[in-house]
Amino acid sequence: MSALLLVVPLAPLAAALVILFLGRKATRLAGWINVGGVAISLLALIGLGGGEPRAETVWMQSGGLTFTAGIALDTLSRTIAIVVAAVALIVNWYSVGHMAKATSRFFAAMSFFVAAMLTLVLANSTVLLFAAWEAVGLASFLLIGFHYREDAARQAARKAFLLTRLGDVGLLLGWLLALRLTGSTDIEQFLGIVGAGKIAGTTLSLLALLFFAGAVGKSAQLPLTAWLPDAMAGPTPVSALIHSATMVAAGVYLVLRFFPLFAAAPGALTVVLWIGATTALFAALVATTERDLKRVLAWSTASQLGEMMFALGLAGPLAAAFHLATHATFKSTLFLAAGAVDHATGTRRLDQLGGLARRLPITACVFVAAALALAGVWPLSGFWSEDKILEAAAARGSGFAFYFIGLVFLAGVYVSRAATAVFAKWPRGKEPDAHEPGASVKGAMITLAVLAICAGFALSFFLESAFPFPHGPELAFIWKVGVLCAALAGLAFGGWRARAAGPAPAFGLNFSHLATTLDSVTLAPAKLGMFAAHALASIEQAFDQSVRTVAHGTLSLSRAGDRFESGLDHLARATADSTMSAARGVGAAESHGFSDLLDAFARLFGQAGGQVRGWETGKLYLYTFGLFIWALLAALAGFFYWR
Amino acid sequence: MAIPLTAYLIVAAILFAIGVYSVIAQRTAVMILMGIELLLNAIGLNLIAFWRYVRPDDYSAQIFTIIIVTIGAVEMGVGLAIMMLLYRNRQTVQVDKFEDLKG
Repeated sequence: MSALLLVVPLAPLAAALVILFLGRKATRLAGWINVGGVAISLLALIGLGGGEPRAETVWMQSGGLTFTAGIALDTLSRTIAIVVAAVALIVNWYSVGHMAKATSRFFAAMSFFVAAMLTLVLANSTVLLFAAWEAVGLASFLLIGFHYREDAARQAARKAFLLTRLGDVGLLLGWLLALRLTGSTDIEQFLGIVGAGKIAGTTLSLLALLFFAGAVGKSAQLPLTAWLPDAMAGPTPVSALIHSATMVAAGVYLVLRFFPLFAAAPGALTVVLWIGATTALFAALVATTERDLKRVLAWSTASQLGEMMFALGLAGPLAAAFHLATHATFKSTLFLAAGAVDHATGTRRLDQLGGLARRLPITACVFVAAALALAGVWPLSGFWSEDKILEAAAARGSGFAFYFIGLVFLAGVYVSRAATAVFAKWPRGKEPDAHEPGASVKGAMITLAVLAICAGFALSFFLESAFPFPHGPELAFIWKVGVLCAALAGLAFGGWRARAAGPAPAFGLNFSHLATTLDSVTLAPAKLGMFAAHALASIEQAFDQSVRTVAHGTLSLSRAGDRFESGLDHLARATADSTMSAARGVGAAESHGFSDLLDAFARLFGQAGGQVRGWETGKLYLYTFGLFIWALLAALAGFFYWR
Repeated sequence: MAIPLTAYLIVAAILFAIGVYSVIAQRTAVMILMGIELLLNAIGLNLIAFWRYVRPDDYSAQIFTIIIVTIGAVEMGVGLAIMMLLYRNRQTVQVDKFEDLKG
């Protein structure tokens, strides 16, 4: 079981590595490997069924602090992981067609992102959670800046990275404080200690606010919203997966994960409520003014995330988690359709688009279905989750409920305005020569649109088993009618404004100044950060200088040692040389003495041979003559001897 | 008419001297072999002469002489065979040409 659990984050990671090794040309293959990695993850998640396996290990222990690293499946993380894997699977499928001309680096980064996101969702230790949190930030940076030759993409990537980093500082401090308090990075253990009431109230509030700072950065809440619209400079699948469905929802997921902590700190929860509420209103108002289709959707995402935070602040985690899941489906669908429009026409500007319903009927249907789901029209998914948020709001007070109905109205306005401006027919200089996208793009869009239509209705039957949070009191029927009316009114107003005034802001130009104001406000802390970084740099330089001095000292010491050693070396060499020459002397003496003696012998024998050689004349008569002489002498000798 | 022993000895000595001369002085292998044959026969004549005039009852000298004749025949056959082979190899029987062992 735990091995299968490990497959969930490791399969996309392996896919990323394989894609990197394939090289940058194999785009199509890389796209399908990307799909395959996520598909394996999703299958593993489904194969795990209702079990709650865990795979964890102690990373290190130091001074009474235990760093664990592990992943575990529980009710919340299973649901969110399945949502992440399903949306990622469909978006990756879409990317195969949509990003056919990109280098395979894109798919490696996408796989890496999915691996990091699944790790984030499944992590049961704060240190692993933080590592995955930073890894998704890195993937987001890489993918926003994918078209790194374009100045806008570079700027947007840098802005997104730095602004989310401001929030991440809070998360870092938060989990370090939690580690100090509990001595462990295990999330369950930490929440258990929080639940037992062993931590003082102010510390709890501080912890909750620090964690929430991380969530604010990631989920683009005020005042760190400005990076999300700029992040639309990235490719559309990136916007659909990272900047609408998964990574930006990680902030909401973080609050959900630590909800017992927030529940124990009411002050922090109030902060969550008001930041969520203002972000939702602010972003919705800006969304009614934007002229770029994807930026409308980005502001809409910020607004919807604000609604989730709003629900969390109203102590309605069930509503927030439910809305997170449904929002992931319909917002991704909207982005996929926007990508198809962009691909077909080459522009995303509302004042240059129009009348595309006839040219791109499937894209138009997909977009409109997801837009109605976003607006909360019965029986599409948005209706069911917004219903739950309204439930939480009404339980707290009618004022909150009316505020939320206003938000639903604004959502209807901006999405209807965008849909009408892009797809409805009105007088226009020339109709762009657009055509429907390819098979994989179309298939992915339709699949996700079906999910966006059905997910809310289907999930509403399994809320208890999908999310481990309690239900609120049942909503009065009049509220349901009211929110539906507000949604329809918003849609109608947005459509009418777009038809009457074209792509002009739905409520006049005043609200468009909001975004620029926000930009300048959020740039101030960034500039402060830059200043601090420069100050740090000079301190670092001083450190650097001292370290360098030490290094120089060490270097000269080692040089002296080197010289001493070379002296030893010379001595040893001299000894060796003298031994060698002695040996040579002995060798020479031996060889000369023996060889001279032997030469003398040889010369002697040679000379003797030369003497004797003369006797061998080769003349037969001399031999016979000698024979006779010898015989004669022998006879004479015998004669004289025996006489 | 009795022929003295000395006459036989002189004839045998002349034969021997002629044999020695031809063995030493002749250049042709065939003539050397003939000289050797003269040497053998000179010795045989000596043996027969000494048997007849000194110990006529002892037959060992006759047997000795017959062995010498036999050896002479064998020596002739072997010698001529060597000559034939030499001739085949070198197309000559001049003994002065055979000087491979000269130092």
